[in-house]
Amino acid sequence: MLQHRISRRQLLTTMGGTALLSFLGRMNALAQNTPPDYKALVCVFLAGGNDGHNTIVPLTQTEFNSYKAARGSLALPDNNGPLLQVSTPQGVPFGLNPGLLSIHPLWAQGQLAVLANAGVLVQPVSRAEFLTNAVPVPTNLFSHSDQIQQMQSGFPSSTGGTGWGGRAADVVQPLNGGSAFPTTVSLSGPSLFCKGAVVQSAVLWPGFNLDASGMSLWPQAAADARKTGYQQLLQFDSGLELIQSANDIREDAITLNGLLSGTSATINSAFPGTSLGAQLLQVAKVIKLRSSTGMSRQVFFCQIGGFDTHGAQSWEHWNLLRTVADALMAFYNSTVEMGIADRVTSFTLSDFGRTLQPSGMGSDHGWGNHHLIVGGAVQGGSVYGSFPSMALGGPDDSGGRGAMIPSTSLAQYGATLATWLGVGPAELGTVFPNIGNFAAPTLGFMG
Amino acid sequence: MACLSALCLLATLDGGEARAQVAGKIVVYPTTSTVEYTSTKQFSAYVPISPNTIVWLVNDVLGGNATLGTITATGLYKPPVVIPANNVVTIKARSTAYPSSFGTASLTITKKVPAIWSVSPASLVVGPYAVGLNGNNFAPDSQVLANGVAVQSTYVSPTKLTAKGTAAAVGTLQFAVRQPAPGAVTSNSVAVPVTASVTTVAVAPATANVQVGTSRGFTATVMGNANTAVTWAVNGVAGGSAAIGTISTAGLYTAPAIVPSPASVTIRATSVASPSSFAQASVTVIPPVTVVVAPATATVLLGGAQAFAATVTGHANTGVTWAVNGVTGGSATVGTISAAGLYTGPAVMPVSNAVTVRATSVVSASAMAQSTVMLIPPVSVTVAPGAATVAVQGTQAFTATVTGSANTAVTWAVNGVVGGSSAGGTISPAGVYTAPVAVPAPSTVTVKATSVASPASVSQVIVTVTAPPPPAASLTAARFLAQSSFGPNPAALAQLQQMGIDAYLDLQFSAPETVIPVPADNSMGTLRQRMLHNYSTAPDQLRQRVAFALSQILVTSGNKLIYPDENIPWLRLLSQHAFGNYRDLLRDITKSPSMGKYLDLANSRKPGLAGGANENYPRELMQLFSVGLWNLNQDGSQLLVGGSPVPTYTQQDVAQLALALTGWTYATVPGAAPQSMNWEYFGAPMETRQANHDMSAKTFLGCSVPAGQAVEADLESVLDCLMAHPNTAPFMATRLIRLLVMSNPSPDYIQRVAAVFAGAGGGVPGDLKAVIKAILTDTEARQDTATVTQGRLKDPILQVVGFLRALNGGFTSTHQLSYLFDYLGQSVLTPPSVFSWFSPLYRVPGKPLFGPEFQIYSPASATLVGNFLHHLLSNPGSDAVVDLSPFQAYGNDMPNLVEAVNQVLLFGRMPAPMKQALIEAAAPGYDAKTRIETVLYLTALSGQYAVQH
Repeated sequence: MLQHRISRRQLLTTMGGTALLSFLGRMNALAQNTPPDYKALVCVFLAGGNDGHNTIVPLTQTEFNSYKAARGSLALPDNNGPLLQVSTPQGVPFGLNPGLLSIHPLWAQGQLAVLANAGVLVQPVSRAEFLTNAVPVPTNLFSHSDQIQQMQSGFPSSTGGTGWGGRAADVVQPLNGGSAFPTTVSLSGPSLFCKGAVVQSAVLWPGFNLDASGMSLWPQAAADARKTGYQQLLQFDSGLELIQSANDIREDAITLNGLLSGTSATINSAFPGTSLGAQLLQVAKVIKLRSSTGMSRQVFFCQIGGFDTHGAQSWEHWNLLRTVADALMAFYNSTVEMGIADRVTSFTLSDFGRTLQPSGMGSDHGWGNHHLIVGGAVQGGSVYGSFPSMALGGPDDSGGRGAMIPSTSLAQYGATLATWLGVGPAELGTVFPNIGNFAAPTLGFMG
Repeated sequence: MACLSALCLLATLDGGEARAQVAGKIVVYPTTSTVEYTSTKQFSAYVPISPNTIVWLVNDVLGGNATLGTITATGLYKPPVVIPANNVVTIKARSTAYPSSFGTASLTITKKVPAIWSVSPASLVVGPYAVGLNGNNFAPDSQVLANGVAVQSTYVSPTKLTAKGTAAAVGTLQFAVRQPAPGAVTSNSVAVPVTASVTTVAVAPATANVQVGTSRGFTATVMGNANTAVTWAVNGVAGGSAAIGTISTAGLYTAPAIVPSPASVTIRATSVASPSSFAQASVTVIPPVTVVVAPATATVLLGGAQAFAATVTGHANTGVTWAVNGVTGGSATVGTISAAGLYTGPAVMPVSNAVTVRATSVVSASAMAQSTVMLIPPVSVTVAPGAATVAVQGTQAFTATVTGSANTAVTWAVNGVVGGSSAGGTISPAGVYTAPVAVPAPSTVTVKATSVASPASVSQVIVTVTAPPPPAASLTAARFLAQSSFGPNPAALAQLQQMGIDAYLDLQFSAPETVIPVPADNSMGTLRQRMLHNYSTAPDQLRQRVAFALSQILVTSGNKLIYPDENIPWLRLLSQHAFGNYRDLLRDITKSPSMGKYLDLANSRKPGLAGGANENYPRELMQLFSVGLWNLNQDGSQLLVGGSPVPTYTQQDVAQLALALTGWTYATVPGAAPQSMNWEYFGAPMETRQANHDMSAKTFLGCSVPAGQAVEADLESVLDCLMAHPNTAPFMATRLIRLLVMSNPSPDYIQRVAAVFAGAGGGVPGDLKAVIKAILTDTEARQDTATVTQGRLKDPILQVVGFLRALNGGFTSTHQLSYLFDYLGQSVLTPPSVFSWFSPLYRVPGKPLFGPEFQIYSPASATLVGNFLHHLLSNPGSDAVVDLSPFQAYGNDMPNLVEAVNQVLLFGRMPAPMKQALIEAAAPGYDAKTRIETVLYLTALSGQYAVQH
C-alpha cells in the first residue's frame, strides 16, 4: 500500500501536481467514458407541506363546484392569473396553478405528470377504517417533524435511520463500478432521504466547489507551498487503514474541487437565481461530470421551504410554485442540453398535503397530496393515482376539513421511481418494507 | 443617357412619343470657365431638340484625348496630365440626330492657383529684406512678385516660399506668387508695410562681476546707422571715476580699489551719430579672495583622523594647500594632512597636544585660514562575557568596561539598534539582554556597547539565540485523553502524566458534574452554544465524553424537541448517569418526558383506547438501546444458527413490549388537575396512569410478565428482561468502544468489556463506571504501537473541539459557531433521527472495516471541517480561544516548529516524510504567524489527525 501511494505521488508530480489521476483511479475504476446506461432521480422536497389542492384543480363542473365551495377564499383562480388548462388522455380537464407557467408546456410534450393524493400509508385505509382505528395508520399524522421523517425514510413510523432514496441507491450502487463518488448527494444539507445502509449521506452545497480555505497567501510562493504540502500530506501512510480512508476522502475533495471549478462542469442553460435554482444547477454540474466520476446511477435531494402556508397563502403559494417551476424547467433544459433528458427524472415530495377547507387566509396540515414528476422518461400529460373527491366529509376525507386519506401510498410512488432507476421487483421490499401491502407496487407513470 | 439634370427632363418625359424635330439651339453650360488641371469640370447641355441625345467633344475630338483632356458621355471633363501649350480648349455638345446642331463652351486649363495666407515678417524697414510666404499650391517654378516685379524666389515646400529684395522707400510692398505658363495663374496679393530704419546700440557682455582693482573689456555694436562710433560712461559719468571705476574710449572698464556702495555700477555706450540711442551693462564690483576652514576646532584621537574642508571665495580657483603647524602636508610628529584636507593624528602625543591645521589659497598667499586640533588619547570599551548563548525569552547580563575616559557610560545596541528590537531581542540601559520570543533568522545577534565619551569606541559580542526543543508529549497520556475526553489539552496532559491513569480516572469519576442550566431565552441556539462550550472547556471531561457517547445511543433530537426545556431533562440524565448504572439510566430515560415526546411513549395507552399502544419507543428500546437486531455472542459477533443470523425479536415481541409500557403520561403541571392524558410538560418525569395501562400478561424476548402488574412494575420487569438478555452486554460494549476508542475492536476486547457490563467477577451488572474503566484501561485501548485496523475517525465535533483543546483553548461561552456543524452533518443536539448522525454499522467504502463516522465524512464535509479549523486558527475572534504561544519560539525554525505541532496534534507520530513536506510547505511563509498557521492547519487536515488512533 505504501509503495502504491508513493508511486502514485511520483506520477502526480510528473503530471504537474494535478490530482486528476487520483480521482479517476478512485472514482472511476471501470469506466473512462460516459457510462452508457445513466439514470438519476432528483427529489425536490417542498418543505412545510405543499398545498396540493391549489397545485392542481379539477375542472369537471361538479368537482370544480365542490372545490369552490370547500376552498372558499382560497379557491383558484385568484388574482395571480387564470388556471393553466390541461387535460388527461381521457379528456378529463384540470387546471394547474398559474405559478407553474414555465413547466406547463411539458404537459403537452408528455414530460410532466401529476400523481394525485399520495401519502404515507401503512396499508390501504378507507374513511370508515380510519375513523374507527380499524387498521394501522402512520404515527403522528399532521406533525411536521414526524411526517418529514416518514416521507424521507419511507417508514410509516418516525423511526429508522435510512431514507428510501438511500436504500434505492444501496441497491443500484453496484452499477457505479466501485467509484468512490457518493451515489446519493443532498444539495440541501444532510438529509435522511439520502442516507442508505451502504451509501454515504453525502452533501454538496450549491455554489461551494469544495474550495479549501487558507490557500490564498502572499507571496504566491507561500500559497503554492501550502497547496503542495496539502496534497503531499495526504500521501503519507501511517499504516492504518482508517487514516488511509480519511486521506482518500480529502484527495477526492481536491479532485472534485478541480472538476467543479473547471470548464467540464459548465452548464449553459440559464437557471433562476433562487436557492432551488442553485441547488438544481449544482445537480446538473455533477451529472455533467458523470464520465469523470464514473457514475451510472445517482440520487439527488433538493429542498425549498416556506410551504407551511397557514396565512397569506394566495400570493405566497403562487410565488413558491413559480420558483419551483422555473427551477425545474431550467433543470429540465439542462438535461436536454446534456442530451440525457430521458435519463433524469425530477419529482416532488412534501411533508403532507393541506386541508381543503381554509383557515383564515391559509390552510392547515393535511395528509394525502398531489405531486409533480418531470423528465423525458416520464409518461406525462396525465394524472396518475385516484383524484380525490372535493367534498368535505366525503369518501376521501379523513375528517371534515378535507385532509385527504391518501389513495396511493408513498411506497408505490417511490417504488415506481426506484424501479425505473434499476431496483428489481425482488429488491423493492428492502426499499419499502410495506410495499407488499398494496395491490400494485408501481404506478405506470414511468412507463 | 446623355440627359443631364433638369434641363432635359421634359425631353425625357416626352421621349416615348418623340418625333424628330429641330426646336432650337444647343447651349453648353458653363459657356466660359477655367479648371485646375488636377480637378474636373462638369458640363451640361440644354438640348431643345427631339430626340435630345448628344455627344461631347473637346476641340472637336469626340470624347477628347490624353493631350486635350477627356470628356465623358455625361459631360464630365477631366484635364490632361500635362497642360497643353494652348491651354484654352473648346467643349462641344453635338446632337446625334442633327450633327449640325451643337453648342460650345470655352474652358481654360490652369495650374493650381497658389494662395498666400501670410507674409513674415509682417512689416519691413527700408533697405534689403528677406521674407517668408506661407500659403499653398506653391511649386518649384513659383515666382514671387513684389509690387508686380519678380524678386529672387526660393521654393521651400508646397506651403512655403522665401524671397529676397530691397525695399526702396517707405510705403507698402504687395507680394504675390505667379505660376508661369502654360496655364499661368497668379495668387492673391498680401500687403506688407515698409517703414523707415532706426539706430540701435547693443553692449556685450550685459552683466559682469569684476573684482576690485581688475579690468574687463566691453564692446558696443551700432546698427541702423553708418556711423558706429560710441561714447562710454560709468553711472552716467563719461569715462567713469576712481570711486566707481573708470572706462576707456575702447570700452575697458577698471574696477575701483575698494568695493563701492552700492556694489553694482552701470556701463553705458551712446551712439555718436544718434545720441538718443544707447545701451547699458551692469557690473558688480566684488571683493578679493578669502579662505575659511571647517571645522574651526576638532578633537582627534592619537592615530585617529579628521577631515577638514577649505572654502575659497573671491576667485574661481578654489584650490588650497594644507599645512600642519606650518609644515605643508604635516609630519609624523604633529600629524599629517592630505591634499584633500584629511588630517591624521600622530601615533604618540607631541610636546603640545594642540596643533594647527592651515589652508592657503593657491592664487593668493595672503588668503589663508586655520583650525586648532586638540589631540587626545584613545578610549577603549570591553564587553563581558565575550560571547553568549541565550534561550528564547531568556536573559543575559553584560558589563562594559571603559578606559581612557572619566566618562565610563555606554549605550547598548542589538544588531545596531539602540535598546534592541522585538525581533532580535532587547537590551536594557544596564546591559541586560532579553532574547526574543522566537529564534531570529539568522539565529545570532550582535550586542554592542558604545562609549558615550567616545562614540568611535565600541565593543561587541555575538549572542546565539536558541530555542529548547519542543517538549515531547507522552503518547500514552495523549492517547488516553483522546479516548476519555474531547482531546488532550496541556493541563490534562500534565495532570495525567503526573498522577498516572488510575488516579486520573478516579479524579475524573469524582469530579463535580458541570451543570446544564435551562437558557434564559429558552433557545436551542443558546443550548447548542453552551454544550459546545462545555465539551471544549468543562473540567469533567470524562463525563462530557461519555455523555456525548450516550447521546448517540439513547438519542433524541432538536428537530422534534425544539426547545431547551424539552431536551434538558434528557441531557441531564445522560450526564448524571454517565458513571452510574445502565439499568437506572434506561429507567429514567423511559420515564423522561424528552424521550416520551420524541418516541411517543407519552400517552401510549392500552388497546381499545384512542391512540393505542405506541410501538416506537418499545422498538428502539430493543433495537438501539439494549439488545440490537441480531443474537450476539459475548464477543459481539453474530450468533449463527445453521450459518444464519437469528433476529433478536419479532414484531410480536415489539407489540408485547409496547403493552408493558402503556400507561405513561406527562407529569402534571404543578397546581393543575391531573388528566388521563396530560399535555406536554417537561418539568418532571412522566407519571403513571393505571387506567391506560394494559394489565394482561406479556411475553417478549423470552421473558414473561405476569398479568395485573402496575405500570412501574411492568417497567421493572422490562428492565429485568433487557438487562438479563445476553445481547445487552456485548451490544453496549461494542457501541461504547466504537464511540470512545476504536471502530474495529477485536472480539476479545468486546468480550472483556461485555463481561464487566454483565457483572462478571462479583461486579454489578450495568455498572457504567466499571465498563468505562474496562474500556479505557484495556490492553487493546492502551496499545500505543499502531496496528492496521486501529482507531476511529473523529466525528466533526471531536475534530473541531479536539483541535481547540490541543491549542489550549475552546469555544467561548458566547461563541456563535454552532451552526457550522449543521453543514458538517452533525447538527449539535439535532441528529436527523433516533439512529443519530451516523450508523454504528456503517462500513468504510470499499473496505471490510467499520467506520461509522465515515457515513457523514464526504469530500464536501471533510473540506468544510478543514475550513472550520482554518477559521478557528486564523480568525478565532470572540468565538474561540487558541493559544499559539508554544509555537512562537519556532517561527523561524521549521524542523522544531513541525516537531512541536507533531507533538501537540499527532502525539509525536508524524511520519518523517510528512515532516519534510510540512517544512517545505511552511518555509516560504511571509512571517512566523503564517508559518505556524501553515503547519498547524495542514497537520489538522491530515488523516493522522482526523483519525483518533
